[in-house]
Amino acid sequence: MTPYPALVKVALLGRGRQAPPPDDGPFGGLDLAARLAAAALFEKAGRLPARIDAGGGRAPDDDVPRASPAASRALASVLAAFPEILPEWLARCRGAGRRARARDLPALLELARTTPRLRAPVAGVLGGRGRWLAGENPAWSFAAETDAGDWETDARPARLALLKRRRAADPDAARALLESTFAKEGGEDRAAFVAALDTGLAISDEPFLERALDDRRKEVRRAAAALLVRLPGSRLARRMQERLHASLRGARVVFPAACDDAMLRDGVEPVPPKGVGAKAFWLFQIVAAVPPAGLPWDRLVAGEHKPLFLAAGSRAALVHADADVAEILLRRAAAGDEGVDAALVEVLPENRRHALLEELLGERAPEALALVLRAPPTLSPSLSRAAVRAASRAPYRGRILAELARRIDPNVDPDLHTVLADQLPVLELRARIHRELPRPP
Amino acid sequence: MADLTQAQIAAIAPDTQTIARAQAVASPVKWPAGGQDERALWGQCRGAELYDVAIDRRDLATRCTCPSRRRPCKHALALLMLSLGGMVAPGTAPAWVDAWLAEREPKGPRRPPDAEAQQKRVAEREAKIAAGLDELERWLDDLLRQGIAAAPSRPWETWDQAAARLVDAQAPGLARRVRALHAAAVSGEGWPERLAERVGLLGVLVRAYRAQDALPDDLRADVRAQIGWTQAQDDLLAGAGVRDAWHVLGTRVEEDERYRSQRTWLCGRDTGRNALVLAFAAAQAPLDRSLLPGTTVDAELVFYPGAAPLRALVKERGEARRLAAFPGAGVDAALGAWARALALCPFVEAFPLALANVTPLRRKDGWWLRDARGDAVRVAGRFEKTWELAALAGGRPIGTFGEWDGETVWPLSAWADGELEEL
Repeated sequence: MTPYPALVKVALLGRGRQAPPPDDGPFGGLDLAARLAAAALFEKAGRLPARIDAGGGRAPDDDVPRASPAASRALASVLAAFPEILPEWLARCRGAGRRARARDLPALLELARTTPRLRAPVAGVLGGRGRWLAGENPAWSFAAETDAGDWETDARPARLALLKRRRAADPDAARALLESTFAKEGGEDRAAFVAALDTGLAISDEPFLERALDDRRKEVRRAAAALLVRLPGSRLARRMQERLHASLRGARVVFPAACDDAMLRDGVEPVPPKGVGAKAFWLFQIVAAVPPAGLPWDRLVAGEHKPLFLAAGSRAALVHADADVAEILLRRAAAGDEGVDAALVEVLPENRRHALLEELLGERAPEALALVLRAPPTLSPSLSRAAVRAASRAPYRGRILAELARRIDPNVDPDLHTVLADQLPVLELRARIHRELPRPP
Repeated sequence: MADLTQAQIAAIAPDTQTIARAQAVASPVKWPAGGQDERALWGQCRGAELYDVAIDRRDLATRCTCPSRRRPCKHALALLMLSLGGMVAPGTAPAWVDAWLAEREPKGPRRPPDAEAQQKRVAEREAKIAAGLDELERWLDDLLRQGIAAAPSRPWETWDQAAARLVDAQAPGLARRVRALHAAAVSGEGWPERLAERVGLLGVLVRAYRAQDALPDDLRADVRAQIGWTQAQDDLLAGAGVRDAWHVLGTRVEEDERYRSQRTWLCGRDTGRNALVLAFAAAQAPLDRSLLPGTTVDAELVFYPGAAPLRALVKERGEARRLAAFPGAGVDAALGAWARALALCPFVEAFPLALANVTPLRRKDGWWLRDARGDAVRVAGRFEKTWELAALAGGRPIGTFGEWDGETVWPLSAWADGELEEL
């Protein structure tokens, strides 16, 4: 029998142009076709399986239990219909002490790759299997559980990832690694690496950061100043406090006379945005850099320079996570004052946040509602009811209700079903997520 | 069992929004009436009006008087959810449910066809097919005389025209095979072997059809089916079937411009037989998902006649339960089964491959499934869910079910941690 490859060669070049193979089988009409089919079949049926070497590692065993199949189906619904509530699914999954099921890992890693703000929440549900899988695909290396990488020779993204991993494990050793090469790094790299000290930031970083204030590159100086502001014991923080005391010493606020070299070194921007006075802008930056506890806020936000202190106080309370000052400022916002950053809602511990918002809703609903829309899920049942009732009376209530539906307790009272009719699908899905991924008792 | 039914609801739903809407309706307060018996579930749902909803237990077919164009509608899904929650009490079916069920019963014996007219139609078709085969023979002869080297650059129309003439000759099976030649011609490395084999099989079919009276009955049935003769399902269902506990191992849906086709692969627990159940639906209509991968169903299947029969119809079925064990083999044994099937019927195309304990491995040349002996099959290059497969395995051996096309496997499900996950 003529082997298949020889017959294929005849078929390729054409029976009219190619001499038949040396055996003397028939070649007319359909003969060649029949012989092709027979030889192909002979080859196909007789082919032995390929043999390949074993390879690759095994994922570690996971201690954390998997999410239920129903939770996985809820995730599929989230991704297909309501991607805006993915952060809640991720937070719930982690909060329930579960990890994502294996089949969902590639989709989550892919989303985290394209949307960096999802990386941290996704990392919380990967489990050992997910971190192993991330290590198998170079595109997902940001989530890999590895200490692979070479600080000296890798490209910047890999070095940044390595620095952050080391910071999470041993902050001082990681900083020492950075210091060992810092002088040789390019300007952009220096700025990125200093900013990465954000992970594991502590007062032991202060001497290095203080030196970085004299860096020849502005981005590096700025990154260092932004971190030092968050360390109340730092020399920079003390200098800022002294400047602030000089301004608030008397009954009247005294503005800085000039933005001197020392202020510039501490990261104060000299040139104000359009429409803002230079001196007010300097004072704003000083207030924003100082821990806000202990300042006479009631007086400051009622006085002549109210807008400045509302805005600067918001920044300071956010940076230092000061719940008391946050509450003072949020009350001003609910009373109609402008300039308070609604993100302060997130500074308050959950119970306090819900109690305050409920109280404010009872007083000035429209302003309070704007604050409620900044609160992360899940609002307490009574705050949920109050917010939906307030929203049902608001203009443009469709948009507000849609925003609320992502935050309120999804098990709403049946008497609110009419108001929330358009939101029932997302509420139902969220209720399912809450059922399948309960908070531990 | 609860999970199983939840999954079934998800599987028959037209889309996830409808599931979400159904959940909003699945509250007993919205159902002033309802009940169930061994045949069906029914109820009245309060929406804009009062809708009558019923579900046939046998195949989860649904009926609802609401105006929604999505089927099954949210009311039918909600009724399933309620029953899952134990909130549908046993009862006596109202008359309209009985009437609907009766309507769905297979019809009694049809009016006997006019034998003479029937015979005439068959004779006319045979004549057309004979002419079509003559023309196909000339076309194949021409192709092989000039050589297939230029085939990859031949425009699609030249293949399509040849196929269209076979449609006119009422040989749609041959038409499909001629269109598939184009796909083989542009399939990249190794295309001459692929194309030459298919050209060869077309020639074999021409000869075999002409000489069909000399063939054994089962092979003759294969050849006639390949040409495009169909068999009346009622006739098939009248014959005896194969009873077994059938494991449902995977489904594959392929879309055409006009309709979707679904292949569902089963494997008999006791007989070890493979079976393929086909379903078709117009573009928007839902496909029959009553055979859910990851379940085992006691059923009687009737196989279409053939030398290596795979395609089957469900004659009778019971309730589904969760698949308890994966019926797989090593790579060598699985490919051996395929070789035996080819030996019986050379026209076998997609073949079921249930591989036990294979590890997905990524190499420079693509993904492979490797068993403990080191034997391996290549995963189809166009298969998109290799990372899902790798995630399910975690570097360990798992069961994998897929379709084998002679060169690569297209995975449809994976058996890991005692569960079958569809891919």
